[in-house]
Amino acid sequence: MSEKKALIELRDVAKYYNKGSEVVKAIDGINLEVREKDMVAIVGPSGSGKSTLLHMIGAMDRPTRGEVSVAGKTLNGLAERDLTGFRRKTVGFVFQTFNLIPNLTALENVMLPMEFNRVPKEERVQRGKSLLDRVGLGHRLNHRPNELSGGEMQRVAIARALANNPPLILADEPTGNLDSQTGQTIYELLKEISSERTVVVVTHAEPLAHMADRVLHIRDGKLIEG
Amino acid sequence: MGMLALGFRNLLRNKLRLLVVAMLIGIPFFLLMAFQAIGTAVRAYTEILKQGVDTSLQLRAKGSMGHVNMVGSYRLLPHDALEKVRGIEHVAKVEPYLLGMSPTEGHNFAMHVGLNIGAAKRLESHGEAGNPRIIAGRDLMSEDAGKDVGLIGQGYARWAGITPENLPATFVVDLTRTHAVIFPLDRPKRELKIIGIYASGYVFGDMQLFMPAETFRRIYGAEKGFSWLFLTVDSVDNVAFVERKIRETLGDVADIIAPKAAATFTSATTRTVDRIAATVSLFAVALMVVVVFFVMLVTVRERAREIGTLKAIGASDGGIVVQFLTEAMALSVIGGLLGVSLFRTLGGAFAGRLFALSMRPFLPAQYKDTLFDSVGGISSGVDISTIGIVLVISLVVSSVGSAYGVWQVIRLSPLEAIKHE
Repeated sequence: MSEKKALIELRDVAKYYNKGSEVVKAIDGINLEVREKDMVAIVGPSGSGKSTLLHMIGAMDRPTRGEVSVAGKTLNGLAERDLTGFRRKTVGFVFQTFNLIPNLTALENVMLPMEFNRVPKEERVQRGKSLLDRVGLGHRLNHRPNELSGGEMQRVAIARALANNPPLILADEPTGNLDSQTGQTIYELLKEISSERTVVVVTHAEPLAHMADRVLHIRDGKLIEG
Repeated sequence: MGMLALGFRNLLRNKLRLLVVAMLIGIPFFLLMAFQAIGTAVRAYTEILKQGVDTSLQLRAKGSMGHVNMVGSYRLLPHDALEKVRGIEHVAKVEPYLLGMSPTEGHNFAMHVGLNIGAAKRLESHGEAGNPRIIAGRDLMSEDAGKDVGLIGQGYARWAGITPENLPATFVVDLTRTHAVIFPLDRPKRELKIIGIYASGYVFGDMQLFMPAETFRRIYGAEKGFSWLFLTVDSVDNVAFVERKIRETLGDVADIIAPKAAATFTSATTRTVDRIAATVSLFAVALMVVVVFFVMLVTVRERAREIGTLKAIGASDGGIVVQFLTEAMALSVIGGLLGVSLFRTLGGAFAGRLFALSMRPFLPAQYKDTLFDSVGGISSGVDISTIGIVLVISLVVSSVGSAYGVWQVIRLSPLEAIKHE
C-alpha cells in the first residue's frame, strides 16, 4: 500500500482578534498535517477555535502568524487574486447555513463555481446535473433554495463544493441546522466523498466524528489529537 | 460575460425587490419631471405674455390714466390721435382702448375695457400682457361688434356670482355707483350678456370686463377719444424713432409709456417662477441623488453574506463588482423608465396638484390664486433631453452607490463578509 501524501500542512498557525482592548487568541500555535483522501473531524466546545482553523485552511481568512500550505501551495503572502484562484480550484466549502444564492436554481448554484472557473456552458450543465444526481437531487434541478428543505439545500451546497473537482472539501458544522435523520444522510455523503478527496469537517455531532479517519480535538485554540 | 448575466438573472428573479427598488428610484424621477413641467408651462405662459413687449408703446392723455370715470384722471386722447399715429412710418399696428372703472367689494374696483374685436385683450396695470386664456364659454367674435356682450375675468365673475355653469349670464353695469377714486356718471343701467370667463394669471388682471368698443361708448356715453392707444412698431430698432415722431405729431397731448416700464410685470413673474422651479427641480435632483445612492448602498449591503459566499466559492472581486454594477445600472434604467411612464400617465394631473402645494405659497400675492388657471393644462409630455440627463445622473449615482457598497464588503475576507450582517 502506497503512503498517502500530506495535502494540508500547518506550522505554528495562530489567529488573534482584537476585542476592545483585549486580544482573543482564536487559535494559537497549531501544527497539523492532513493526508490526501483522509476524512478528518475537528471537534471541540463552542468558541474553541475549530471553525477558525477551518477558515485558515480554506483561505477564508488570513492567519496572524504561522504558515499554511495546501496542495503544495503556501498561502501566506499570496495576493488576494491568487487566494481567490485557490478557493475556486482547490477548496470546496460547505457551510452550516448552506449559503446558496437565493435567486438561483439548484443547478445554477452548482454551476456557479464552474462559471468562475471558465468551464464551458455545456460542460457546466452536464457536470452540474451529474453532481445533483449524485447527491440525490436530480429531480430538483430547477428549484430555488426557498423551495428546498434544509437537507436538500445542504446537498446542493455539497454538490456545489464538488463542482470544480477540488482535492479538498471543508465543511463547517454541515449538520448543525438539520435534524438527526437528515444529518445522517449528509454524514454518509461526506464519508463517500472522502474516498476520492480530503474532507475536513468541523462538527459537534458525535456520529460524524466517529465516521472520520481521524478526530482532532481543539480547546482554547490549541490542538489535542484524540 | 458570466457576471453580467448573473447580475441580470438576479435582478429579474426577485420581482418584488425589483419593483420596490424601481419605485424608489422612479418616484424622484417622477417628481423631477413634474416640477420641470410646471416650470416649462409657466415659462411658456410668460413668453406668451411677453410677446410684443419690446416693440410696443402705450399712449395715454397727458397726465391722465385715461379711465373715463376716474377722479382726476378721466381725460382721453384726442380722437384724431388714432389716425395720426397710424400714419407714422414703422408703426405696424395701432389698437385703441377705452377704459372705465366700477367699484367692487374686496378688490376695490374692477375695470371695464372697450376694444375692437380681434385686438389683444390687455390687462390693466400690465398693459403689455394680452389675450388671457378663456376658461369657460367663448371669446368675443366679430359678430359681437356693437352688441351688449362681455368677456369677464374669473375674479370679477366670482364677485358678480357668474360661474362657468350659468353662462351666458346677465351682468348689470351701474355707473352711478361710486368709490373714493370713481365719480358717478348719469347713465342708465345696462345689461350685458357675459359670454365667457378668462383667467389672466394675477389678481388685478382677473378683475376686468372686456366689451366691444361701440358698446363701451354707448354705456359710458364716451362718444369720442381713446383711453389708450397701443402701438406695435415693426422693429425694436425703430421704437426710438417712432417715439420721437409721436411727440412731433401729437405735440404735448400724450404720455408715452416705454416698453421697459411696461415689462416690469413679466420680469417679476418670470423671475419668481423661474427661481421656484429651479430651486424645486434642484431639490428633486438632490432627492433623487440621495434616494438612489442610499437605495443602492442598502441593497448591496444587505447582500454582504451573498458577496462573502461568492468570494468563498471563487468569484473574483472584479466579477462581483461587475455583477452588482450591472444590477444597479439596470435598476436605475428600469426605475427611470417607470418614473417616466408614471409621469406620462399621471403627470399632468399630479403636477397641477403639486403646483398648488409647492409653488403657489411662494408666488407674489397678485398671482397666488390665479396663475395656475391661466397657465392651463400642464403637459405630461417628456422631453428626451430631460430623460437623458436624468438617466445619466441616476446611472452615475446608482453606480457610485452600488460600487461604494460593494467596495465596503469585498475588501473584507470572505469570512468577514459572510458575517458582515
